[in-house]
Amino acid sequence: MRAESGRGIDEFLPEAEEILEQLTDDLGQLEASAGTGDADAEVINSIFRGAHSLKGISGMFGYAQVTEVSHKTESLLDSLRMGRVRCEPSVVDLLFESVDTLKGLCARLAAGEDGPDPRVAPFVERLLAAAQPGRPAAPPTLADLGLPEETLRVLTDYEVHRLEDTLANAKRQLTNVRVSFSLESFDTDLEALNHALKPCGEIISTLPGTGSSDDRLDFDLLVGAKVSVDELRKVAEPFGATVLVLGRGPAAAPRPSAGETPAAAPPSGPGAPPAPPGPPTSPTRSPAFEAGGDLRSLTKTVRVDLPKLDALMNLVGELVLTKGRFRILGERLREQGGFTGEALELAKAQKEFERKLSELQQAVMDVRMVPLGQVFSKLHRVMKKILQGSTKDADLEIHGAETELDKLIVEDLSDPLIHVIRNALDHGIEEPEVRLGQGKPARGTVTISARQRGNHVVIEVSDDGAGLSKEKIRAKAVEKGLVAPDAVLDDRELFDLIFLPGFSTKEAVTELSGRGVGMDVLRKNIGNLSGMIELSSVEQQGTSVTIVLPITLAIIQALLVEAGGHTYAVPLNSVMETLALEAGHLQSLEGKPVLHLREQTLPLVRITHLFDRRSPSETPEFAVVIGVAERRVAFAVDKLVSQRDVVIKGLGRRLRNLPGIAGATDLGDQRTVLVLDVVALINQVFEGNP
Amino acid sequence: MGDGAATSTVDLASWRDRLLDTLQDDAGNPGGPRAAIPAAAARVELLAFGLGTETYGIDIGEVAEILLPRPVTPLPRAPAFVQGLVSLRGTVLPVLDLARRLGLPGAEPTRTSRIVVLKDGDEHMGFWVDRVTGVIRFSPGEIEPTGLGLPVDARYLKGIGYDRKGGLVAVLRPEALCDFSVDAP
Repeated sequence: MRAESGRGIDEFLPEAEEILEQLTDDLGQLEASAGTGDADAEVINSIFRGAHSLKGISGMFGYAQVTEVSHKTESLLDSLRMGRVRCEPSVVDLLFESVDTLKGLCARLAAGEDGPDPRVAPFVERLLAAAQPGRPAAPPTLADLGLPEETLRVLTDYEVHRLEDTLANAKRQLTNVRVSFSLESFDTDLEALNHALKPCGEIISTLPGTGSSDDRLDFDLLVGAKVSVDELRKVAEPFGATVLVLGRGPAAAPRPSAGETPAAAPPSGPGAPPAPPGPPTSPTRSPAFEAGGDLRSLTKTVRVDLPKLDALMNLVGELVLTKGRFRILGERLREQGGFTGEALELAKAQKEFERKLSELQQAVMDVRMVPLGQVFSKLHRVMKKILQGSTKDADLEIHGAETELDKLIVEDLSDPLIHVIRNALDHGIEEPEVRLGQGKPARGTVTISARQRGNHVVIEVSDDGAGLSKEKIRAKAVEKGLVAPDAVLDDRELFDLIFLPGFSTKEAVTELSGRGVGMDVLRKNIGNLSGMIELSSVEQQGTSVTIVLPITLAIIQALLVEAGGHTYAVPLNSVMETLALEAGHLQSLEGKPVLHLREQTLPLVRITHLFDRRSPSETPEFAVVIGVAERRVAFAVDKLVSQRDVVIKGLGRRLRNLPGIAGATDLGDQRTVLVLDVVALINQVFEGNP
Repeated sequence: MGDGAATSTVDLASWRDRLLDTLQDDAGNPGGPRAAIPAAAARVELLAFGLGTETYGIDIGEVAEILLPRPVTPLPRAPAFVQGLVSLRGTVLPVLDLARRLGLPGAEPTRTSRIVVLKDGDEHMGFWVDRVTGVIRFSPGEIEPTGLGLPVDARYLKGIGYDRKGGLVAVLRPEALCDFSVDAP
């Protein structure tokens, strides 16, 4: 088969296994009803879908025999659901044989046998023969239903078949559930009705009625009821629906159907003459295959698509919001009525709920979590490759590989880490003779350590190399015009200069230059993960790069603030501090407001100004100091509202690029609040004030 | 039954397509009913709604739902026709001011205002309208492919038709209405 079938098989088998298990279950159900003339159309459809999916994925991976068998099985099922072939025990047996054959083929694939199996061809012939229509198409018998001709004309072949089948089935009563819904809510109303009717039987067709008024829509639902008409009415009437009985009387069941029990026939019906239960079938299956081994043992994991996990996470997020509402209600209740028995009971139940909810949140989060070791393990190889042909030598030490992070973050972390390690090897670690001359071991050491700190993970990459010269950094920054020659900078500010765009560029061949990709890109990539990156270094002793990342991006802690009459959510992981503004804080530098805070001077920006919104003239009352990577900005706001968990929702593909807005979140009371993209806003501030 | 019956048949067919979209339930018929209905001859069924004194229509198959007005959170930096965001069952729905989108003066909220939610691929987009008036049926020939003389940007117009009372109905192109983007900085 294919050269890379080894890789494909790992993806194919778990899916195939799942489908085949479902098929076996469904066939079991079908077997129970085979020959009774009351085979469940839903079950046949489900089997059809299963065969169809298997055909699709096996085709994709190039397993031709699996495709062939599932394709021919699908054809047989199509004949079955269209009524061209009757659902008889012999057919169900053949379907079981199909599943066994497919299982056998999969087991062969799993065992690495990839030649074509000679038993498949004759079996496919049998499937083909069985799919041939065994009887002429049924004559139309719907004329007496009393349905308008135009309605009959829009019915599909499948629906016509289902209607006829239902008419012929004495255990089912064909009814028309007529209902009228308001234009504004018909979709949800109809869905609710459908949901309610489903246990009562098969909803064969939903037809829009005619002659409706302007703001209401009428519908006719043709339902093959397996419950009595009275019971159906009980279900349908709360929706304002009327139930009409269709096709009762001799003309209604002209076609004898197999295996009916006269007792179940409707009293007014003729009672269809019992028909022979189809041609006698072979009593035992004669499988072309014994299912080759237990497929279960082939895989032990359940593959879950990330979107599914995201959906789960969203739901948990919604619950977290609901939790907040309950808490507020509880507090209100206690304020009004004091600590009465009920209020205390409620508080207790609430506590319990909150504890379970946070366990649930943790459990869902855990599923997304992967150990950092997954990306760290790659770094050994990367390092070997970089050192190839170099006279330098270095070891990689890894600590905390078991620390876990959201899979999405871990995936995006590999490039930044490689970047940092390359820098350490290229520019940090010295040549062996230099090192020996300084009393260091000839081999250098690069250490990566990861640890969890609250809701963050801290990754530190350090080397015992040459370190950075502050003087050189400063000289270069001045030369590049990134900083004034007389600027007063502390160590952190000085090292932060390295992350400025234009500092580490290709043509600047100093010990700091990256290979085409600057440190500013590194900072941006980490910023995209809502992380921060900082660097510190001691000359002659080494350099250390610290990356701080949130554990997950799906639910974040946010600070809600109000500015200019609007509420915004600021991701808490970028909030350094909040303070009430006093006169001494506010200064002006070159006409622009700045915040003077403990020897530091930060740009002070009103969120409303950033968004070109009109803001009230009175002075802001609070400041929120934001830090991303090395940059600090103070946002002036009117009010600090609260701190809470929020679920960030995207704005959709049309609006996703709106600068400064990371998304929106629902506070649970129909209030939608914008979540600020702190990285973009800070960059805007700095680019606006060079 | 002559032409009348034939057209109402197609008419029903287009309704059904919409229902099938609405009802997840019908996903249970693989390759089923929908595939069997010829789409080419489809008669157009429009959701009619008003902006100011004018009536507009949009293919009802493109309408996901109609919402009552609710607080819209303004979205800074978005184009002027973007009214803002509303939360809807766990997702965030952008809402556009349809009048402004068409280059007309913006709409004021009134008692009859509605948000018509259109499908935009696998996402949704809301449009604020002054009122929803009902459903109009046209056969394709009844929609003239011209937008000349209307104050509305021709990009958004599929054509014009006249309802039973002779009122002008401007038929809009949903895909053009939804099609805009905000460029990355």
